[in-house]
Amino acid sequence: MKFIHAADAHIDSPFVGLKQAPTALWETIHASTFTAFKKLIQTAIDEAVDFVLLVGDSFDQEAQSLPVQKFLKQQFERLAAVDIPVYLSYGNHDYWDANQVHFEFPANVHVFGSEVQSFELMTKGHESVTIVGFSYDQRWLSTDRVAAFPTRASTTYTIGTLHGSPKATVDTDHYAPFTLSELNACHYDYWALGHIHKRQILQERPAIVYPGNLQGRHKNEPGEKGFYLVTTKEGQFDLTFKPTTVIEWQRQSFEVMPDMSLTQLQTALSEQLMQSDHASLVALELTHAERLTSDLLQRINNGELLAVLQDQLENSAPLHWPYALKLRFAAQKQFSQIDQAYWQEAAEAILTPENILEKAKPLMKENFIREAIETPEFQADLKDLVTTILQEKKMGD
Amino acid sequence: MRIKTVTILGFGKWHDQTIDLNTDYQVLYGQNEAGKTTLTAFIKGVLFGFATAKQRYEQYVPKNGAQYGGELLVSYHNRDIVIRRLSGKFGGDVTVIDQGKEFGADYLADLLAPADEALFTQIFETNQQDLNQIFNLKQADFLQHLLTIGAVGSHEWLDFAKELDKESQKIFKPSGRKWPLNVALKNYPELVQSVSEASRGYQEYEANARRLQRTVATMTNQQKQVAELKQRQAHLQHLLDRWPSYAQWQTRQKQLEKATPFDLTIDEQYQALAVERKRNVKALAEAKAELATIQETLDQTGEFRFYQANQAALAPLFEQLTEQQKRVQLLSLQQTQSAQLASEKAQLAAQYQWQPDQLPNPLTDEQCAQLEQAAAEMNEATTTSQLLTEQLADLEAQLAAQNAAVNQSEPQATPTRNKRSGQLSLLIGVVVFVVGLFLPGALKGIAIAGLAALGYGGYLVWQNKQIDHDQPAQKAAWQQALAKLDVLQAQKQTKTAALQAQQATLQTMHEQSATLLAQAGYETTMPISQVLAMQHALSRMTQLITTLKQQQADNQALEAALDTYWHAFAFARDWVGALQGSHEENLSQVSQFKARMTQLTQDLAQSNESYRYYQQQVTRLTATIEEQDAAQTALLAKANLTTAAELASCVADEQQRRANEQRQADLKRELAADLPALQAIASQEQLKQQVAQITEQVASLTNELQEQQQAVAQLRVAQAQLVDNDRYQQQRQLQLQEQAKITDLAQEWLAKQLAIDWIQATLKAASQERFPRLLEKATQYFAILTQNRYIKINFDDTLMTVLRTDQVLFEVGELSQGTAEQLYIALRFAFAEEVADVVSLPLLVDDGFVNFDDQRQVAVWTLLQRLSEANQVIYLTANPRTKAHFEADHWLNLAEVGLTHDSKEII
Repeated sequence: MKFIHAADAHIDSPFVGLKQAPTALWETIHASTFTAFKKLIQTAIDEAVDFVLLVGDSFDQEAQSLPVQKFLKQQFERLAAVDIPVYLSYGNHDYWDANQVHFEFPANVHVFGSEVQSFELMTKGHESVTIVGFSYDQRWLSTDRVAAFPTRASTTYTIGTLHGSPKATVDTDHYAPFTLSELNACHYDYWALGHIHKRQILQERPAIVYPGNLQGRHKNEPGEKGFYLVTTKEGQFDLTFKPTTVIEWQRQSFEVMPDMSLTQLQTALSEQLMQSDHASLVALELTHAERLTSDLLQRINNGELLAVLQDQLENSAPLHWPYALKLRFAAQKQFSQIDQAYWQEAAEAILTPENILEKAKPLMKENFIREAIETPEFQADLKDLVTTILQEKKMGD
Repeated sequence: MRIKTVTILGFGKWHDQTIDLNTDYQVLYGQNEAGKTTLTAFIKGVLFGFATAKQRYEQYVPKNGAQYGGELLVSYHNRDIVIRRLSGKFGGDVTVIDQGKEFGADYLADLLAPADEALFTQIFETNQQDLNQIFNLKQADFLQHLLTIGAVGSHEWLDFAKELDKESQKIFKPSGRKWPLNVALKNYPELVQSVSEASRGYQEYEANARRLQRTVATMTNQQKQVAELKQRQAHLQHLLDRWPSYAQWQTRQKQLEKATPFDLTIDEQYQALAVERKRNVKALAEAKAELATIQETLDQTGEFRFYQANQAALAPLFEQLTEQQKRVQLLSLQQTQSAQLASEKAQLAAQYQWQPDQLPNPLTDEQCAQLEQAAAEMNEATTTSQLLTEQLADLEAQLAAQNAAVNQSEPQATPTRNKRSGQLSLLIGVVVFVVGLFLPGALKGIAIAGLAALGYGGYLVWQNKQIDHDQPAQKAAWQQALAKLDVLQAQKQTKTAALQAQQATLQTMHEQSATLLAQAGYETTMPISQVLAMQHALSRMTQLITTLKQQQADNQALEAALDTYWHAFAFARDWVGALQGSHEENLSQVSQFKARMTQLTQDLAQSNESYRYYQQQVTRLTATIEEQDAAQTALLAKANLTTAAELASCVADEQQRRANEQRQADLKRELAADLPALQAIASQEQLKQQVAQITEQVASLTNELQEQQQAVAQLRVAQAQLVDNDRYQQQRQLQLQEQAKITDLAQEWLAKQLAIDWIQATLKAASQERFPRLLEKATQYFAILTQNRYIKINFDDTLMTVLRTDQVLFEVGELSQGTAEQLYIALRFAFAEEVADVVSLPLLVDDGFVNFDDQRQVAVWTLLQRLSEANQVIYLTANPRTKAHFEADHWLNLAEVGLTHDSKEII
């Protein structure tokens, strides 16, 4: 048996967190989720897999993308042409809404209904396989659906597909929460999970796997993305990761050496950026920023360095695009002779979420700003930035 | 930091002076213009920079040309550091010598941090002008002041905070419009709007999809309807196409309903009989024809009948025929002989020029001998004569011939009797023949005579024609002949002369002979030889005459017999002929007649068999035909018919009926299933109407269908366009991009705002902690300075009040100038002492206590001494009483420093 386990293709999902980019990059970005999915389909064809599992969130319902529907249909037709069945479940992002437009998929695509459902098939190697799963018919599913999964079938293999996240807290369990022990109790041979975009194998035997998404769409989906090509050999499940990343989100740090000029920095940074084989979207962190002269610091703060780097790399192939540049100062360097305790105390009073939100009130015209500001990540970044500002002040003294 | 030594190279009135200071406190006494203020300016200048050229009035450039500047030897964290500042740009060139190493201005700044000139001025430098500020002091100001001085670098941080605020306002101002974040936030809803608009594509698609579904359903339905209608139309059209057949079928049906069947076997039998009969009739006709032929063969003209009728008369005649034949032969032979004899006789007569009735007598032998004698004698002469004669004769002959030729050849000489008679004969012949033709019966012989005359005439004419015919050729010949004739005549003359000579000779002889001859009846002129020669001919002539007479008689007998015979056939002249021709002809006619009769007789014998046979046939066939006629009549009767025509009519009817029946069947088969449908329709007109109606329906529905199809096509195109339109995604990406930008700007703005807050909070925290301590110290100092008249300092939001020991509360404004100054001094000293942990610089007190009474002056002096624990106190005073109050080694009279006292000249 050979199959593909993929999830969270999020085709046509826009990229978040880019302020500007050259046209070619926007084009690459826009095509990336499509391209990644095409790679998946091509692998399925090349490897002549027995079937393809797409465990939810193949696209974003909210995006209401017609091109995506058309694209999916076309890609499924490619598989149909070589008789590769697809077992597709809808996740929280592409949950089934009867009122929404759904292009009719070719007959090789088997879509799970909102109730747990089993499909059976026979592989080319004459192994019988039962595939169990369900689709979301709403954005949130707080109930534990594993309970509705049938016990292991009499077929050679039984595979469970589940778009959801492990049980954590009642407040956050909106996505078909499950526990490993529950899954294990089903005695299935493989659990094909979806929903979490970070690739991870929760358990080796039987395999409980998140393949991650196919293409990172923001800085919090960094690194190589793809899917698993799963083959069985004597009952053993062998997982091969197949990357589909078109452009990789990366965080790169760079240690500033003393007495570096802007040109030196630029050269060293672009060299480092070019090292990656993949096209990349890079958030640069310059550590030991305190080593920079105040003049340089100011120029960097003015965005000069990032602009120069972007200019230089605009036409790089593969494209390496530094989309952000941050300075990090060596920690614990007191930036004021005023008692650090006062700063600390004040920081604790000032840099609180509440205060931040209070402060941000004039900006709260748009929800996304509130949402962004509310994220711990934003606040952490904000704190870093504030600290950097004061540190820069100190440096600039 | 405490100053141990002040070394002035040149500064205002001071030059090349060194003043050692006590590091706890130092009182520097001097009268006005002793250089107290200059000294404080020098210390401040070395630490924080000399006044620049822009601040000319604050500059203390020495007038005597000494080097501008100097140095301070300070004690800093238990080590000595030299701070040297000499004239130079930006407040002078600084050299810091710390543990043997030289440093620059930055190092100095570090040493002094967080203090700067401003802080130094505000905290550590006290002069009379500052003291008046107390009356304007409010809590906020005080706090601000405290913030400024309450923490290390507070002021600087506050400046930075201001700067940050400015910067942040360049990003965003809550009430602003033009700043990037303001603009972005203002524009963002537009982007949202455009995303929403772009997303309408999806709704449009949904709506279209529904419409499409409906339209397709309608279309499908219509297609079905159209198909059905078309089928119906086709069916009706089909029926319409079939209508002619159906009409035929109907007609046939009606005809068939009327028609009764007729048994065609009757006709078959009848026709069989008819065929039979026809054959028999034919055979009968043939038989009859045969009989007729036989009859005709035997009796073409009635000749045979005539023969048969007159057989009795003809039979003997036929028997005599052979005899007559012989007679004819004999006659012919004899006639030939007679002709020959007559010819001979004529020849002889001609030869001898005998007249037929005057034949000389034959000579006796004697006479002959005599004559022979004479002859012999004459012979010679005769021979010659003869020769000549012959020659002459020959010539004559030639001449004659030539003459004839000439005559014949001569064209003009054509008309001859012969011709004329020929033409006459011809004319007569024609007339006679024609007349004869018109004559009846036996008189037709005249025609025959006419014919004969015609023949004769014709012959003559033919002869003439021949001559005529020769004429043109002969004309030339004729001329030639004339010439030849001349020659011949010349020859003749010659010969004639010779002959005359001979004949003269012969004359004698002839005379002798002539006598004799005369006697004998001969022409005396006749030559003897001729006579002699003639003897034989004469005898022959005689014989001939006899023979001829005999023969003539015989022939006449024969002819008579023959004529008799021919006459015997006169009764059979119609069949045999006139028999008026030659005997041979007659004989031939008779023979032919006989032969025919004989043949006919023989044929009759032969034909009799066939004849009988055919006669039997005729009889039999006639009977058969009659039987058949009867049978036919019987058949007709059986069918209640009387005539064949009726039968034929019936048969035709029946055949028509059967054809109809067949056609009907064919039509029925052809119409097959359509028939019921056709029968259900009243008329073709109705059917046509139905077809027209349904055609119209089909057209109408097809139109509708086309509209639907068009609508569907348009919708599909629209859908395809919507599907391929990624504007929404682009807009969405733009939106996210804008969000990122806004979020980033927001973060930047927030960072700056928070940094400001943080700074202020930090400063506030730092200040506020110190504040109670400071207030406590200030209260304490104020109490000291006022000899415990005031026991508490209060700050509220707007007001600072002090509490007197008698519990009376005073606002600052209510205090006396002195007390107010004392309050301020108390606060400042408290500050200095409070922040000494972070900033410890010498307190430069420049003669500030003028409004203090003696007691309070002492109090402040005491306080100064006490303050020196935290900060070095450099007290410059013009009050001589100080000398008594302070320790002697801490009191220095500037006048006694032994300095050159140059007045500061103000330019």
